[in-house]
Amino acid sequence: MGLVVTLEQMEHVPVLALTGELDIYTVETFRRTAEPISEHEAVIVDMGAVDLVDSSGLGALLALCQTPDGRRTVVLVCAGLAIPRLLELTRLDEHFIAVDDREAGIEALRAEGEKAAGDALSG
Amino acid sequence: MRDGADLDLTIAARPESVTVARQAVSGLADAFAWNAAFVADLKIAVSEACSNVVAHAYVDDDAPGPLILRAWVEDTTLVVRIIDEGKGITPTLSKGAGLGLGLPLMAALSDEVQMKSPAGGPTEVTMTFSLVPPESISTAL
Repeated sequence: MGLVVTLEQMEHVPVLALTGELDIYTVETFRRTAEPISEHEAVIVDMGAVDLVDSSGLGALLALCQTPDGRRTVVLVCAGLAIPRLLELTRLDEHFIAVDDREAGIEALRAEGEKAAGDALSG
Repeated sequence: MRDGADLDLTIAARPESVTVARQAVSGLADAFAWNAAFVADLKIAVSEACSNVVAHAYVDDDAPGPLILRAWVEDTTLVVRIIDEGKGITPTLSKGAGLGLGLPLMAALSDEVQMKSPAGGPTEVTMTFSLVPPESISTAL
């Protein structure tokens, strides 16, 4: 099994939708498809149809957290417990927001935006 | 190892071969009817060991060498051995070095990882996994 990646949009937020396995063989496909999001400060990665992620895939997801100018918020849509468990095992969970579906991802980004605006006002 | 492995596969150490290795252990899992949670961990651990071979073993060679995958069951334990014919692991960082998550993941997902890598090679990674009865697994994936 390979990997199919599509780049979509939801409420002006880029969404990378993955189907298949994200590993050493398919990670280049993921990176190439993710290139157009370089200017965005947030991205949702829908991993609901991902069967397997290995450390190559985790590395590519982690790379998404970096923009040329700073940090990007990466929301992972995970259908089950397997991917969150993997993030916990590798201690990468703190780099991502894990949610159950895309709508929850949009909500999480909204909440984060409000928090950042509040922090900026109080600072 | 006993007289014969339940799985004995030699493939070229290319990225796509990692998928083949995973499919091979999946086939073994089907034959033994292991539970899904166990197989998910097994596939990731095997992926990591095979990816290390692909990324590091033949990095200075013109063409990828062999990746050998053997697996067998000893009583209630599955033994998986991945062998390459590279020049052995050196303390310097190779060109394909990543985040360094592969070995910790293999250790976390298996019961034990042993590595033999004498100078000049070959490198042999052996992982053991307890074969847990399906009814004792409560974590849904």
